[in-house]
Amino acid sequence: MSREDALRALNEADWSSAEVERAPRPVSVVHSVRLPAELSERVEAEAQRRGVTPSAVIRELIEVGLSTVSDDATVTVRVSDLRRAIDTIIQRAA
Amino acid sequence: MTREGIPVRRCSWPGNAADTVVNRQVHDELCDWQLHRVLWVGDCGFANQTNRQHLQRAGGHVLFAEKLRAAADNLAALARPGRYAIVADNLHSKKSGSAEAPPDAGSSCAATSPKPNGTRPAASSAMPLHFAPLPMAPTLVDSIRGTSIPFTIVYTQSVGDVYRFDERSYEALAANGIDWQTVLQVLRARPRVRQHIGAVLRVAAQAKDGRWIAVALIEEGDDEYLVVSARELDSEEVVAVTKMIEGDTE
Repeated sequence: MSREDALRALNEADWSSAEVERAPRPVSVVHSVRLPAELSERVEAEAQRRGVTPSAVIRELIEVGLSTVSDDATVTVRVSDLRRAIDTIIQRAA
Repeated sequence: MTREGIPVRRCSWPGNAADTVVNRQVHDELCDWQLHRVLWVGDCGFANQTNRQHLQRAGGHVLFAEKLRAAADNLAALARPGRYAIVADNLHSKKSGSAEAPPDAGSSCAATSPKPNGTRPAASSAMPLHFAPLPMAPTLVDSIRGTSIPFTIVYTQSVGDVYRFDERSYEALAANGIDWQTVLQVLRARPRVRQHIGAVLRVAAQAKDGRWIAVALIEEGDDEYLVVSARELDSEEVVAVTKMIEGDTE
């Protein structure tokens, strides 16, 4: 079964053989992502190092990334304080 | 037994011990040894709800055979939508996954059909055939193959649908002007209509924005589907689908 077959079926107008569903069912969603070769190899290496699957690594990294985003609060700082902070970082790095 | 056939434990009971009591004790003792993923195969004498629930603790599975007329839940399971797998000429099976299945239906409920002509019960005879793995003990399947009695097995699992999006899914949806959030609304919506066309599943429902959307999916495995694309229903289709849903409630 190809996608073209599915697209042809999608465009059919006859719903006479359809059935109505009312009972809820749990739904899981899989989002497949194509990774560039280098990124994929890094994920595989990390999975091998930990002794887990690449899927487990990806899932964990997404959780960490999303938790970082959700914890990212908006703060207001004065421009002078911001400049001072940047200068301090530059001095430490020099 | 180990895989080599060496018994790991032996028990004995009084001759009048009830089978259900024996099974539960063995199951509990196996669980103490971390041997909880066990498939229990039995006849209708074991198929009461308490026993099923007990034997499914800690990941156990059950497969009990009983005649269709023996219990109302067998008929209910048979009436649910699903596809048949042909395991042997005299053995057809289908999974009847359903969220409303009783809590103890997490693994298997089996039913035998005494139809002499080898046909499946009329309630499901129009359903297309589908080859799918059957979670049964091989010895049981072999035993059934060795008879001339036709069997229809309906097993229920309280599992859900798995919908997979790949990058081409998102591209196709975007090309049709339908966002993936709308598609998820349709896939989770109730009521909705579903229609199998070969290995394609079409699902139609009303999205939160009021539009009626049809989604096309390719069946990749048992209850696993790849989202291919979606489109908005035209006015005639909306009338037909709405009538179907409203008519179904009458």
